[in-house]
Amino acid sequence: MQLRHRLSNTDRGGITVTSSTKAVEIVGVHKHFGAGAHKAVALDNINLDVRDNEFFTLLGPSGCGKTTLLRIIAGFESVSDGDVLLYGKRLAELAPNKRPINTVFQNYALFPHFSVAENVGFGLRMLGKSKSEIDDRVKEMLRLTQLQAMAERKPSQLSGGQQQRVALARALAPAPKLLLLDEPLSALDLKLRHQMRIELKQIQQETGITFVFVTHDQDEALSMSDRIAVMSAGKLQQVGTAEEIYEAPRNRFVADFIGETNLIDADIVGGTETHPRVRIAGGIEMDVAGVAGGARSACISIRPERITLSHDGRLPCVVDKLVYLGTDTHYHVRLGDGTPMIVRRQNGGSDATAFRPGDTAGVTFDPAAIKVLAS
Amino acid sequence: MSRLRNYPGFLGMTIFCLVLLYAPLIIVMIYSFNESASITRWGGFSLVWYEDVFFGAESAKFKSAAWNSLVIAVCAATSATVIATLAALAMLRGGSFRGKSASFALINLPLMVPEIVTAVATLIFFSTIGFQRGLLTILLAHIVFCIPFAYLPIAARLQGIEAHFEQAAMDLYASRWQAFRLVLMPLMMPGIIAGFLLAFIISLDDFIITNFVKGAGIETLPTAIFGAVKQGIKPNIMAISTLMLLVSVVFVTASYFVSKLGNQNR
Ligand SMILES: Nc1ncnc2c1ncn2[C@@H]1O[C@H](COP(=O)(O)OP(=O)(O)OP(=O)(O)O)[C@@H](O)[C@H]1O
Ligand SMILES: [Mg+2]
Repeated sequence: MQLRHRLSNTDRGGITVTSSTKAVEIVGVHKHFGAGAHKAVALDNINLDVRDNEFFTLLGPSGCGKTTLLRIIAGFESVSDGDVLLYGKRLAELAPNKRPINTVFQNYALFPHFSVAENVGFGLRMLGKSKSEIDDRVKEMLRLTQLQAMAERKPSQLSGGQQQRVALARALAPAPKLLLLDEPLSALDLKLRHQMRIELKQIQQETGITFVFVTHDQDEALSMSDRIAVMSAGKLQQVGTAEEIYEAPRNRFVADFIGETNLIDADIVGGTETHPRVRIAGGIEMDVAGVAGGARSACISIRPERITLSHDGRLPCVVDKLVYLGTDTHYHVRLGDGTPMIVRRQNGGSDATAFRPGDTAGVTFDPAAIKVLAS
Repeated sequence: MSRLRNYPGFLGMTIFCLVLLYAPLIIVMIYSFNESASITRWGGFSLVWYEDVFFGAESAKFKSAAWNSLVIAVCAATSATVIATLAALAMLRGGSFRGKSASFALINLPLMVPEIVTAVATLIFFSTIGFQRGLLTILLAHIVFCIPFAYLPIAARLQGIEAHFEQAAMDLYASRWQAFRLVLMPLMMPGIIAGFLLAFIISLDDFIITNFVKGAGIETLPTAIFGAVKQGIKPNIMAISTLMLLVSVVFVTASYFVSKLGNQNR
């Protein structure tokens, strides 16, 4: 909190934080590279808002345009159409070095000829701060990122995780209004990645800086973000909290991309527009929530952990194979009409009835676990 | 590579080429330490000819020629390095612009055009515009043909530096100039130094173009040596040649190590 106070009275590019809760507004942004036959659309009509103080994540598979969107916000790429606003101010007129935005680059881009301290102090030096002010701030940042002992080292003398922290400290030091992070954890090993997730989130809360975080890792997105924007092929698929996106995916892509799910074609046999009645695998019928839009059939999503497998399950099935995953086991089963399904069961749980491949059993699920997806 | 070695006669061929290339140089070096005034008979080891170069009858001529060579090489290499650095920035960081491939060809043209053609053309050019021939004409001609030699190591180095570094600098509020001066230039430095050293040595031992465009009475070391040789070869020429060879070897080696060192540090 005290950190945030010291940061807030900076004013660069004529941008002041007002009571507006929108940190970034992206309005109808299109971006294509090349022209004519070589024209490639990287971003297709992106509209989204990032709120003040938010940990906002852009999530999507490789090549979906995350980096391009980030580079547009940072100013290294221009839009083909549309507008980007930072606290209500159009960014198009501001050169990258005039935007109160800092970036943690995917490969860190630490200056190899500067020490850690010089790297961290670079932004403040460019802003013309006094030497004592820079020194104090660098110390503070090194403390925040636990790098005090490394101040005099060159980047090449650091481990990957330490370099990642230097990149973070360097980007935070000038107290930007907005911090952009492009897959900053992708080069780290699993353990360090998990640890850095917690640290990043903590630093974001401590500094009160708005983060826009890019990743293709759904676990990373789900565990850190206040809100997530799911992208695919240059289009925005859904924006919402981790829970909204996981529990109520809007379409097939989101349901499939976030977490594991069973996507099953079902017939709509009645009910209302908003509460259709579906028939699954030619068997059971259920009244579920979701927009059917008058269609005769729809794709539904059921998470593996929302299905129970038992001898007296409602839909008969045959167990195909077991995949042991430590805490859980995945049961791959086939329903009566051949529809494959994955059921997740916790290992060592209370009902530890074992099933083996070839066993017949039954699956049961609650209508609340079913989401009807727009195709 | 190891296969190549197994070809019959490969070793002999290699030795033959090396001998052909280096035997004359080695003979010159050895005879520069000859006691006698003969250039074919060995009269014992001595440094008299080195003494003669520095203090003998012709020493004044050689000293002023050496001084001219040095001044021209330093100025030409410096100018060429600056121009080559700017050219490399434009070619590799300037995005795409019209006439880019033409510019690239232009920069490297002196490498492809036979030197004698450049020499004659430059001479004709200077006489046509009525430019008084002297040190300045030599310098201008040297700058032009030194550019590609400076350009190659600089461009090679710059090519290996990702654009992320400048973007990171600008992201941290550096102006374009600051991003260049504080981040890109230090990273390019090994290439720049290697380019300078190469341009320096190319200028230092140029003969053909210099001989055409120099003014009357103005000599550089290579033209002075040529002038002296025309009046008969004395061992003092061998001493000078050995000294120049030494300077060349030192500079080329330094240039090689500087760029190699830089690549390791990246
Ligand atoms: N400079 C460029 N010129 C041409 N096409 C480009 C350029 N930059 C990006 N693209 C294209 O735009 C699309 C989006 O690229 P972008 O780098 O934004 O993807 P990304 O979501 O960041 O992917 P990743 O997760 O692999 O980093 C890709 O199809 C890419 O090929
Ligand atoms: Mg990317």
